[in-house]
Amino acid sequence: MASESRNASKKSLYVFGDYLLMLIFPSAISVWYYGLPALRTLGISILTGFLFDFILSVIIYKKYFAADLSTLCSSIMIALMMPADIPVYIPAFACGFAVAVIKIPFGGGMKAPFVPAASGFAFVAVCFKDAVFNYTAGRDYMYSSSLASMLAQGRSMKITLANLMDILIGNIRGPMGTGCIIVFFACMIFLLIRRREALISTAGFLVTCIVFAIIFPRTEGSILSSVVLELSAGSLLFASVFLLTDYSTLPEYKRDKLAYGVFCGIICMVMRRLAAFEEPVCFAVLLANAFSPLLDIFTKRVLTFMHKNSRKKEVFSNE
Amino acid sequence: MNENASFGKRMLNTAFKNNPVLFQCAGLCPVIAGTSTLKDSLFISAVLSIDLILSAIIASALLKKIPRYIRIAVYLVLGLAIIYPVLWFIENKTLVEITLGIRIIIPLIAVNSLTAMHCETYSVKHKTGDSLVSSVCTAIGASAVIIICGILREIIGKGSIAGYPLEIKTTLVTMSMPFGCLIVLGFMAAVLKALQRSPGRYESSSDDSPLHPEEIALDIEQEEAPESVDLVIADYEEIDSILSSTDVFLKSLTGPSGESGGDDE
Repeated sequence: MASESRNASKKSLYVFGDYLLMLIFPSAISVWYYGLPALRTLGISILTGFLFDFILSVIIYKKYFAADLSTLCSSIMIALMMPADIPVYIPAFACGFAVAVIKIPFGGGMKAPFVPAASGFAFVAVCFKDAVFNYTAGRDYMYSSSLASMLAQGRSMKITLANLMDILIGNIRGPMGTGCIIVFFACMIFLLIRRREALISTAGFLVTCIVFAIIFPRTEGSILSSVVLELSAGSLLFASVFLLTDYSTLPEYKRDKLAYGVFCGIICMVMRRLAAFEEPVCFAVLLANAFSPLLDIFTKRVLTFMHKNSRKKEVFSNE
Repeated sequence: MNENASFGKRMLNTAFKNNPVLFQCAGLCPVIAGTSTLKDSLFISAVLSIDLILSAIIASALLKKIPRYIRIAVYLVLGLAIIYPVLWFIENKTLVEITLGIRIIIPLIAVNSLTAMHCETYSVKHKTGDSLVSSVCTAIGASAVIIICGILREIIGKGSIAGYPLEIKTTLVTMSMPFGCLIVLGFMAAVLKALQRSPGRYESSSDDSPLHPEEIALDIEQEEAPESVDLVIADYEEIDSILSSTDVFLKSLTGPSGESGGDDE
């Protein structure tokens, strides 16, 4: 029992420590681009997350564990998916929801059935749609609207070396911490070293999105521009690295992880074309979370059935 | 439930300790669909109560000798037979306005699980008087939850109460949606469960002796409810040292042959 709990606590620190390390870079870039508003949004999110975590732990008579990094990670993720100049109560509501409705009632960040950050963001996206997708902060950008908004309206842009660099370094309108693509590729390399299996779902997700972008382009330009714009719009890459690889919601088996990623990718791309939100990736992740245990159950049943069949064959061959 | 107990005790037991909506999850469909405002929830609770009480009386008086598999169907027909006259009366003989949303939800009340469950588990096994008292207690318990849910959802989701606007600048639209009701019900169940706990159960311990290593490990995992509320401020090094001390202690307990389990990482 003690060794199990030791392993669980070590695993929690290992997983969320990695996330925290990865989240430092997009946070720093958001502060670099947006300055004080980004810092304020990050600060409010972290503070609210900790406050809710502490108060609810006291209310339900659980020892508050300051080194539990799941709340910190969720709070930073929520802040990074918001516009920098968002009213402060919105990230506060999102973090409160993530902790009070998703994290604490289900027994902590390692047991939550839905990704807390995605849930918090989805909650405020429904409540305060206009504010959550209103990207006006920052300097004068080349394009007046975000890439996700451009794609939603069917507008396109020609990909040149100059604007490709802007897209790669996140110098475009959008959520404050999900624009810099280079950082997410670096995070993927980091995950490849630390938690290789988690990247299977990310790979499935990204490949599905690319295939969708090729088959059903929303731009009038080339296939390359369709793929680049779909991948770099909104929080898609951010979600593929941070939300889709969440430890508690990821299926157990490799093939299930792949199926989970593909499923999430299909939902995300369908929602991008049909839903009322310009960036529905969080809703897609939540929907995929709901199906994640079913994937595990299905695979376990199939494996048990195959094992039984192989045992029967062995018995018959021995006889 | 003890039939000889007083009405107050039976009420406490049925409406508070074993609330049919919060703890048995019965009749959730009309509750979720029809409690976005106080007016709607009052209407739903009134119709649900009439349906439940009349069904329970009829079930205990007439349906005892009918086979079980037929009784279930009879409850549903009975529900429709009770609700439609009530609805007709409200529409034609009173000034109450029935909204379109409520019109859709009313048939759900006729087939709700709360009535069928209460009739099947209690009414058909007891006398009519007992069944009446029990159904009244159940109806009050369910109605209380429905009305509180309606009040909370209207205040948080629409910033008003019974249609009168309150001075609330920020409202959460999601609370008017069905999933908002599930969240409210979840928190209400948690609060009710917490109120039912004996107050001395979590009184802080006066024992200041150091924790047993297994207890430390349990606290780190946060699986068990601890005896007292303390702050554990720890960082990586502290946790590592605690865990290693736990390991050493367990090894000393189990001896050289004892296995403490390997680290998967």
